[in-house]
Amino acid sequence: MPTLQKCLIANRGEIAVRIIRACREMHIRTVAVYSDADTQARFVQLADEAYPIGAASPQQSYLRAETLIAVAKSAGCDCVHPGYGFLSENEFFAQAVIDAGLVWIGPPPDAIQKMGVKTEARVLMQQAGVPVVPGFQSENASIDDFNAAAEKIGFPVMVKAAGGGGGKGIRVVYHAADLPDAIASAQREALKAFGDDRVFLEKYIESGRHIEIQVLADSHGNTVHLFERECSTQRRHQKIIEESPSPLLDETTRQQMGAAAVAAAKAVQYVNAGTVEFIVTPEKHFYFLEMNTRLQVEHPVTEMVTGVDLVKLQLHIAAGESLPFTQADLRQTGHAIECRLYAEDPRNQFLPAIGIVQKFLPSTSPGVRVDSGIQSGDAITIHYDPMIAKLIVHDRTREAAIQRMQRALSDTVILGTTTNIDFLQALLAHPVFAAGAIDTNFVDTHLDALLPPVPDISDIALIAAAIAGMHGSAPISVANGNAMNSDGDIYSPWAKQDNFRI
Amino acid sequence: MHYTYDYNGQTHAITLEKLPDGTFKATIDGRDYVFSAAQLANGAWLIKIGDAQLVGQVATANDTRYVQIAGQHYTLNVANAKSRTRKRSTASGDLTAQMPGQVIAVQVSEGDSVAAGQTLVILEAMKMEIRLSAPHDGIVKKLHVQPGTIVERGQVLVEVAE
Repeated sequence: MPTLQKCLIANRGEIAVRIIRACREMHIRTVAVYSDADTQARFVQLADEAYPIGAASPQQSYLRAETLIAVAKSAGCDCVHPGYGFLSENEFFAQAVIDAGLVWIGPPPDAIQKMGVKTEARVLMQQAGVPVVPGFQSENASIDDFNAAAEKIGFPVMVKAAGGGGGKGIRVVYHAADLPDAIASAQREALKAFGDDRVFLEKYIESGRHIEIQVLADSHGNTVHLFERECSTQRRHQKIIEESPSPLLDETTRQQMGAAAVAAAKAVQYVNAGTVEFIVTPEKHFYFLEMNTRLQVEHPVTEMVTGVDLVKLQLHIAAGESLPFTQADLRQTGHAIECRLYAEDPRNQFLPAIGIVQKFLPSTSPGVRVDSGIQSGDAITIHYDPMIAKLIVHDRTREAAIQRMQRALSDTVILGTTTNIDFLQALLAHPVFAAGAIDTNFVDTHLDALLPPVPDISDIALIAAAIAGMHGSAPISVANGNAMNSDGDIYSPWAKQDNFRI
Repeated sequence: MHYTYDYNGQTHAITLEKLPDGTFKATIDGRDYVFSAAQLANGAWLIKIGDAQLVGQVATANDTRYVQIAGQHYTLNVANAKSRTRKRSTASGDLTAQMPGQVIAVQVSEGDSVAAGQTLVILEAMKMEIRLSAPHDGIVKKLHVQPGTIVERGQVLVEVAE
């Protein structure tokens, strides 16, 4: 197998930045592709080379498989990393990459296809001894077929996008009358998000916990799990906070779920990084939901507690190397939490808050990791997910990790757009979160208590606004007046004040 | 210098003057503060009042001032500024876009009778759907958009007469 030399990154934003960093450490050159909306984006600046691929709409850029492969070939790449979302779980794209003579940084197309067709995955999982949630999927199913299946499963049911994840294209339906509309709208959203409008039904387990197991498999038959991520803190099936270990699991259940996840991966001859999602009842019964045949948004949580770099291992595995450890070598150390910072307005139905991020100065405190694709001056547009950054903290205990996250959030400066930071703070401070007892319904059913009131203005805030107003918005000289550098990363000595020594 | 800001429905006035020794004096609602202020390399303001010091970040976009200080975020608007984006909707029956996006479906025609809560238009932005429903029972008087139309926040999409 080849040593990888040059990687095309078929994605954008923070995950493209994350992949570029892993490639850099391994001395693999990077090629970015970008839409018209991303010409100034951070990932484009960081890559060794970057090529435009079309208009802002994903269908005209990041979902154009042939264009991506053509760029990879003409730029002399030997591999393609799809990130998450877009074409990452599209087996036809994976196959096209392989057919073009390139290495696909992901699982075999056959494994993607088997896990992608949920009915087939369910049969395979049952054969492998993995418990599954009752559900229904059929190619070209009519509305009548869906209605009949939903009645048989029993309401409430979930309509889910067959092609995706990340909470897109999901609807919960409590009454048969609402099913046709829910299916149509899930199909539209799925087509837009994943380029695939197939949807399927699943029994909706209320007050369940969403707990997923990270797996890694090499091409020599070695498969291990890297423990769980608890992702129950969700709003409308969109994950908000993820952590590891799960506060719910005991060691026995953890081992059982890990073994089930490894069995699930082996059932489809899985290779590379993947995630097996389970729904877990309060009694700790767990059911297979689906396997995400790609890197997850929340992968850093696992990296923090295991010390394993999942993206670098994806590259090593794709190059044909064996896993550098066995199951017995792996440990969960301490506690990690991730918060997703979104440009959205919790007080206005969480609608995305479009605008320019005038200032973005993430926390640089100990134990804090920031995965972000933006920089000061970047626009949050209507075209893509409004995630600004992922904040990940690690500490010895869950309690310490929560405190560390609270501080990291208050240290983080994001000005120019409304964000969910206050909402995240309210969540972290909630006694049910502190008790580790949040289920997937909690946020939606306790939303009123989680929406913090608009804070009263303080005199110091007015003073800050006025002093900035007096001096203009750009960094300028003050007091004895040295011109200041606007680079947010460099804390150069300040203009000296009589009463202040550095 | 006088500054007036609107915040959360209230107007706040502050007077700021630079003193001969380079410090500043602020007066807010009769309360006086003398402080020093220095801008840091990252654009932040280090403000020292007596024994206390705080670092504040401020960003400006048109008439809006975004302030972060002491772990809190505030969005202020310069008061009495000419508002270019006055809400274009006046009639209560008008359906307006809550956010910028693209219309992906219009589920009614002009002249249709609609019931309160009925979905009239589906907007999409950032891969999310937003369903806009009739504010009350009535008749669709005018449709201003069709599938594919890009709309701005506050733009009237449908007029519904009672």
